Amino acid sequence: MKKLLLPLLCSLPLLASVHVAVAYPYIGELVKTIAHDKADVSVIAQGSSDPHFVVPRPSYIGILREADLLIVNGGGLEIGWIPPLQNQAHNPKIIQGAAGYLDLSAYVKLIDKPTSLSRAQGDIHAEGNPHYSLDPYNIPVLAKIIMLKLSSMDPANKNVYHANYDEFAKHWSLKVAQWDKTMSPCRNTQVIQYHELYSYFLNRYGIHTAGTIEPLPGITPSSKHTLELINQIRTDKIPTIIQDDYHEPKTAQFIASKSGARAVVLAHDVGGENNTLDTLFDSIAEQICK
Amino acid sequence: MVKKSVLSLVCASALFASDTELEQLKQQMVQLQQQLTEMQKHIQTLEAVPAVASNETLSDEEMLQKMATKGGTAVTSLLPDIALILNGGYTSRNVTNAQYMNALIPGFGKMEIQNNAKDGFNLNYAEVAMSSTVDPYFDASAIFHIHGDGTLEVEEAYFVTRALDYGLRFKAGKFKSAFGRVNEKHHHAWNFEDQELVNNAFFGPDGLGGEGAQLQWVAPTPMYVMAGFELFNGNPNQGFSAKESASTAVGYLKSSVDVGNTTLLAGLSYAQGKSEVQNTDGLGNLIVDSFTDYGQTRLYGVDVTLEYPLEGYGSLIWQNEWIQRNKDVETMTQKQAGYYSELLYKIDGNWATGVRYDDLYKNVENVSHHLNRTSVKVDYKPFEFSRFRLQYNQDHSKYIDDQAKTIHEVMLNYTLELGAHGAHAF
Repeated sequence: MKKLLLPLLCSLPLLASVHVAVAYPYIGELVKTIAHDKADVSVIAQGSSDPHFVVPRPSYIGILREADLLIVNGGGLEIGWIPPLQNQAHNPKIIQGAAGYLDLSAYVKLIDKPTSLSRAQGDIHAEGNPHYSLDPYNIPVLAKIIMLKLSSMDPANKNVYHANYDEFAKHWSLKVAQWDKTMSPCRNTQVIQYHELYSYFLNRYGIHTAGTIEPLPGITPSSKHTLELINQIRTDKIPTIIQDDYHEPKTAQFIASKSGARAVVLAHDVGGENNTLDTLFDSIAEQICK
Repeated sequence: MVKKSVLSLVCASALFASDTELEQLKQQMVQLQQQLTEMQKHIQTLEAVPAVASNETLSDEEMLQKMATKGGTAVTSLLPDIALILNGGYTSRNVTNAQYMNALIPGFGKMEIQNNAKDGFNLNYAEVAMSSTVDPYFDASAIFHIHGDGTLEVEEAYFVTRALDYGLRFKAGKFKSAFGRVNEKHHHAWNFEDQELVNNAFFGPDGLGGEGAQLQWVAPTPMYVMAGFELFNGNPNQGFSAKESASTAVGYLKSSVDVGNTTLLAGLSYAQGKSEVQNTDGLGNLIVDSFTDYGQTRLYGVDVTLEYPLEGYGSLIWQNEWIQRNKDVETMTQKQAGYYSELLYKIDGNWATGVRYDDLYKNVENVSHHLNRTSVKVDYKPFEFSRFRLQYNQDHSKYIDDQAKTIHEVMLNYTLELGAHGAHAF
């Protein structure tokens, strides 16, 4: 009898043993890559919407109530919507400071940390620019943190997580070599962004952000600032305007039509046509450096 | 003569000095140029190196250590979050201040007016809110209102548990009840500048709540289901007797589902306490601070909210709430009920508009018509932390000098949020 029970018990962890809730689709992709069927993943935000402003729907409370692990981007990006959901979920496993709360921003170096803080500068992030996930070199770091976290929460499947991570890291280094090649002709060029969303990607490939369409972070474009940008693009011959997929595209189109620059609309997270991390970075690289 | 010679002397010495300085500058320029060419060389060698993983990444051990200590949380400060919220504005009405202060709602009596009380400018309050995690087991918050007249009010001051199991959370202190949809919300988070009529008539301007305790439970289901139970001291301003301590009990059940893109949030609420009725003299006038207790007061509430997100930052919200009160009074049970329905159109991150209809029906018998109010508003938010709101009310719910009187009011208000203020729930 005992002999029969033992293999039965051992096989239990084959069912998804960790319930993971993640803030954004790219984190969900990484968890799926590392865990395969060893964890089930619930993604809260949509990849096509503004990551700063997610409506904290009560249905998300159910997701957090059930989670063993909550993985967030951090760096203040979720400050407007994750804390109220955590408060309402009554799940001590995933509150700040608990073992089941993983803030990925704590493991990467954030750029553009403001030297002085005032809301007169708009919606600035005190911790620095939180959009670090758009640097392809950060992705394997994040994958590794997730691998280590899952391994510590579910030691029985440690080897699986490690093997999946190794496979992913190998694949990713090949992809990175491709993007390095795609981006190399665009080194030392200039672009205009809507919001400083792609700064990590641009910094990585030596592209300088000469200005942003929003006058200050979180402030809607003004006509005065828009005219200044048009003049700047004309005098400095800036070739490209980068528009994200959630802000209104009209201002970028207007600036493009008046200045002769090329406006491109880029995705910023997994979803829609760019349903994997590979295709997301493929599309970003190809469109910025045509 | 002396002046001139002194002047030329000064000029000559200045010229002399500038000659030597020029030499120095020239030398410095040459040095700088050398440095620049060296730097350029340096940059070129740096650029020649491909951008391989040059991140200052942590080792596996360092990552694990970081996870073990704080769960990877970036703790920035041990000070509580402190926020200051200012609300005020300009109000215009077709009645005098004295008339407005003495207006009453038949069946409910004179209403305490906290905000926009005067015709003209009003500073409604400066709200000071502080909140923080106390220790691994508790969070605590305190919210104070300093009113324009200098009075200080403790709006809320409470602690909640962080680490209870089974989906439970306990709260104690002074706080607003989660009865219904709007009762728990603070003034600056309201959809309109003034309180919904039914909440105002039954619970007064501060809403249902006070010193008490609360236990809430979130069901372990993927669908959001929350049940809560609260106990408060009875408060005559909220229609309950104060004679028996901790005699007001509140219970509610809330749930939400997403149908496609639309969020549906619904709740059932119940409250029970001792009845208290203000005594009248032989002429029917209310006697100040003189009450008689009669049996029970029971309240039933139903609320339904639908939110449909629009492109960009817009949304459509339809919010409805109905409350009935059965209050034992002398030899009978007085039944009163009311509801509101509001439609809000958030156009984008900056602009929003909305209409609201308030109604009190099933009221005292000698009032034939419904006591209702219609409101229209436009919000403009230059940024996340500032808001201007223009609202118009046509109010058929008040009696002035024993006569039904339609009150027209226009309010232009500002709300500014400074400092660290926690995000609001749905």
